[in-house]
Amino acid sequence: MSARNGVWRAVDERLGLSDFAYSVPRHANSLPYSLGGITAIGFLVLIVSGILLSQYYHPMPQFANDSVRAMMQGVRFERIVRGVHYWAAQVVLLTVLLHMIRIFTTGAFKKPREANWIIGVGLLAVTVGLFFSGTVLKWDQEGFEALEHNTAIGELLGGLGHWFAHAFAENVSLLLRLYIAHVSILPGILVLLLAAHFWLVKRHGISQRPGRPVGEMLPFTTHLKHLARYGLVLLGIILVLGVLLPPAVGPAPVEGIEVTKPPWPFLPLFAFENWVGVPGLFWASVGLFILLLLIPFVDRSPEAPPAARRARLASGFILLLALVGLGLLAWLTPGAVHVGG
Amino acid sequence: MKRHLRWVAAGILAAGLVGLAAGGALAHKGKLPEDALTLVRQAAALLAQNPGMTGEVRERLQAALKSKKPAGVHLDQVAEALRALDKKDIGTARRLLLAAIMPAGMPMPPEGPGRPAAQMPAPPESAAAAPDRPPAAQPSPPSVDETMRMGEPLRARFTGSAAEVLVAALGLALIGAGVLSLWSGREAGRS
Repeated sequence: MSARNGVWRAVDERLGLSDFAYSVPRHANSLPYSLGGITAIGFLVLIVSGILLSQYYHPMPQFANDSVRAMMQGVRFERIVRGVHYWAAQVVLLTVLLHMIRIFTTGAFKKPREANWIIGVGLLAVTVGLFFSGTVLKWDQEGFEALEHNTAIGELLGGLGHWFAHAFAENVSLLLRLYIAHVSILPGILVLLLAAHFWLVKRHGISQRPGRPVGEMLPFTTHLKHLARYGLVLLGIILVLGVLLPPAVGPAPVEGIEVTKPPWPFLPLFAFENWVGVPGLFWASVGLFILLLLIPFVDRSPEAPPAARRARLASGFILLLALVGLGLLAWLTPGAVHVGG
Repeated sequence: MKRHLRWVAAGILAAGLVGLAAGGALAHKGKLPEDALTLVRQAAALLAQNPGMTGEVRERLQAALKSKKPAGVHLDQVAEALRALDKKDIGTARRLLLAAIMPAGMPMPPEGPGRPAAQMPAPPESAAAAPDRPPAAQPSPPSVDETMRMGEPLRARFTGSAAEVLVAALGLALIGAGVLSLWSGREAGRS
């Protein structure tokens, strides 16, 4: 027995690492089936860059915007770290959405995986929450207007929206509470949901490709190695984007004006808000999440092949196209005053 | 014929949607604040961030000139800014607006929606209050130029510094290594 094998056996005896060598189908290594793992790697990049950013960020309203501007003008790595964090957030949200589209298309949410789909929708909600709170933390006009919308929705909800009211904690600014949500509450929920998500993936196994045999099986550790390869590409892309296209930051906010449009994930909702005001923004978001939660209960047939689910797939893609269309519409139409103003 | 009708219906629907969205731009206007200082601050911010919104700016400046609460604002400079705006001289208008409110001090960001502007905490009375720093010198008020600069978005660009080049090169190397590794392990992804 070589020294290397000896060390491995000693470590494995104590940590049980060989338990990770359980079987997964070979197709788990294909890009569409690796999107969930790629997203998890993206979250790791976000956590590391977020910890670094928190060393330079000041979460008090009178200093927040200045601290971000100082990062952007810094001579060290702060600007690059902020660029990496920003682009990692964009990429993660995109891969989460692509992952969900893959699950929907291949019918991987069907029995017995309904609970994992619901956890996945919860993960999407937390990811959107992290994206939103990150936008507010810049404390520029865009961030401030985002918070104004949230406060307006909080008022709409009455007692349920109390957390977003200043009365909740008179002596602690909403920005500081949102910062705490961004760096501890939401990541905590994310980790719990991710743990449940991974556990259920292991319990039910990686879903079969619809209409095709399972094929050859590989150890999960081989899948992890393959994910690490995708992770290298992902990290490389984020680093290059973070350096070449660093995100801008607006000036310190002024209350009572509305000059910005929301970031791209919220643009489709902005169109609803343009039509019916803040209630439109709220009800459209609620409706969208309810639709997502209902998918496994509406599409209950055991057939997963796309050919057997044409109507349901078509409905899903029409909804997706409508959201993209609404987003484009909101992007092209002039900005509007919805709150404050 | 039926096909044409479908296209016409789709066109009408699309035009309707655009019309609704564009109409929404004017649909939810709120009330303007009463004090001239807030109105001028808002007008200056609008000019800095969206110079196309001159209608909104004009509306605020006219309201400021008629305001019953003009404290902290040089209204003659506001009137001059309005004239500069008529001549489409946005830069001068902004400069005049900031000069008009500078006596009220540097604008501070609000604490949150519906909350007053944040208060700058008083500097520590002695070095003991902030043991890791020497006593702070009283900061001098910023100039109009500085205020103008701070009121504009900060757009970062690739500067070609050693750190940026290093990180970009590292990123490209990671992409290359990852793609090569995926290529050499492509059999693992096939079935």
